[in-house]
Amino acid sequence: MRKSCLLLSQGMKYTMKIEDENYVLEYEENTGRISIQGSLRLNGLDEYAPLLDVLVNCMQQSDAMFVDLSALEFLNSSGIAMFSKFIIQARSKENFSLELNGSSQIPWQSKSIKNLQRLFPALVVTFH
Amino acid sequence: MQPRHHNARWQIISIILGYVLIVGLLGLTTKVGLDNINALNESLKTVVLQNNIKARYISEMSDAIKKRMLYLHTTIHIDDPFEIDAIWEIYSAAAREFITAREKLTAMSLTPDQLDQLDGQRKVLAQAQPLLDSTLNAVRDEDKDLARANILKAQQLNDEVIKDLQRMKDLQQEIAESAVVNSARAISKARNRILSLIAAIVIISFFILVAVILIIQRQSQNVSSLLSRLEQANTELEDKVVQRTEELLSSREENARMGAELAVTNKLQQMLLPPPVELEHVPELTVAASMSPAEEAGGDYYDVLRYDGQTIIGIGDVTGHGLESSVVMLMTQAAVRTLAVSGQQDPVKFVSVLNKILYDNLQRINSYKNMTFMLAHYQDGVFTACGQHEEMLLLRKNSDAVERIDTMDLGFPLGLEENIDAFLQTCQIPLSVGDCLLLYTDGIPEAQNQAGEFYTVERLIAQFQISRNLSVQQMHQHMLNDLRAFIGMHEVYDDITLMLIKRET
Repeated sequence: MRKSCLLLSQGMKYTMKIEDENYVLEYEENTGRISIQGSLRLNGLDEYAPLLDVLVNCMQQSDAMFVDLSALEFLNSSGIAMFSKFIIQARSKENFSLELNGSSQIPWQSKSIKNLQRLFPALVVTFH
Repeated sequence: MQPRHHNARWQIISIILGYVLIVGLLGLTTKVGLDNINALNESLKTVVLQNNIKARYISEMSDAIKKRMLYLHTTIHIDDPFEIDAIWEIYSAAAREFITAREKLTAMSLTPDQLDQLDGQRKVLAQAQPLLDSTLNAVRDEDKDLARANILKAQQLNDEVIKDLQRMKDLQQEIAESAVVNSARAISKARNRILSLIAAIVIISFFILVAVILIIQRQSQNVSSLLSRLEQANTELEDKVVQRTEELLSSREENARMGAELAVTNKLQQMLLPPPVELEHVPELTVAASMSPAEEAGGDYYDVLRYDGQTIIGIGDVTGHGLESSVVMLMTQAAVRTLAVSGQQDPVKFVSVLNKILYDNLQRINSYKNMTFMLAHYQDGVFTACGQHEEMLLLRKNSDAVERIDTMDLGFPLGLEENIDAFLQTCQIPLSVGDCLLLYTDGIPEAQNQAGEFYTVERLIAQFQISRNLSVQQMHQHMLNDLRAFIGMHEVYDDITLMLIKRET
């Protein structure tokens, strides 16, 4: 079952966490950093909506955003569609910088992150 | 419920005690009042009785004095000495009567004034006695003038005594009257005391009554609030039952609807795939292809069409599962056939137009579906591919190694961007007789076993190599069998499409 919670930290900035048995999404508002770990195999964009909300909310809150996917082992095609949708929204925001961190060891990432970069040429992609 | 019973018992006991107290106070009041009134009555009776006796004695004294004076007068007119002696006897008897009455009166409780008066009378009478005696002697001596003069004197003194007695009688009367007034006051005092006691009892019992009423009222409020809570809980329970029943009914409807949707989706998907008989009639090539849907139908697509001497092969994968994905696949199939029928020979234009068709339609239905798609034209030994999909695996007749042909740079997912021309390229693969090409969707490398391991492209390549000497149909079957054996009892997440194309002639 999916759980969402707000974790208050110092300076009244919050960390948001969405997780189930397969994945964890963490959002630190003060740093504009989102990390997703595990394996995302949700069914359709409806089930991805809460995650997309976090991404879009983070984009609206900050001018610079860092998304760490280096520990996201698997992302199904609906998940890729969600990222595509997010990138299409993000590219229309002026003076917005977005950095994606991925892992070259994970098969789905090389192809999909490249497609994301094609959607948003200003997207900074780092692999490690 | 235990303390409630306890309370009720205490209330009953306190009510009974209250009644006992009220009855006791009433009894006490009645007794005190009666005693007071009885005592007053007794003292009044005594006063009246004593007053009567005193009045009688005073009257007797007064009568004795009058009688003596009368007989003294009578003696003046009598000459017979015997007769005078007889009267003298009566006269003396009257004197004795007077003394007896006075003694009796003195023996009674008298006020100091009365005693003084009596003492004064005695002196007057003692003063009168010699006069009377000399009067009697004068009568006997027949000195009537002296006798008459003495009688007059004695008369005056007697009158004084009689007046005095009368005053005494009046005084006694006054005392009696004041005693009556006093006792009337005492009675009214007693009555007031009784009345105030009764008032106190009435007030106390009023307070007890009010307290009892308040307690009962509070209890009945408690009971009614409990009842209303119970009623509310009951209503909530009923509502929940109704709600749950509705949920069950609607979930049954939802299940039925989803079941129907699934059936329609599967049917759509299977209907639009080329039947084996079509695949058998492709010139130069032997094609074996299948699509097995995941538990929930998805959006894998493949097709083999022939128009104007060209064989057109398409393969694609719509994101997600369900009816919407299947509808996108249906659109794709219809558009591909339309483009093929219209004689579109340029693969780039073919894919570009297809992207525009899908993009516009997806915008209309407000969908974020997109699809990987690769189209190939085959003619005269050349396989020309365009569009981004999975890798193509090529096993040449004269080679043991499988070539992996990446399609990443041949295109872009369809339906995401309005124009993808910048990303579209073609790739020409010459096929010799005996060369075999393998196309697949990501359902194969991403299939997982019980341990959570992926099937991977490498394993697919290995099975491709192992089965290379089998017929195309047998190779196809072998690879599917291996994949199924790998997955075992694990859930199948995605559609699995496998297509083998071998140039035979």
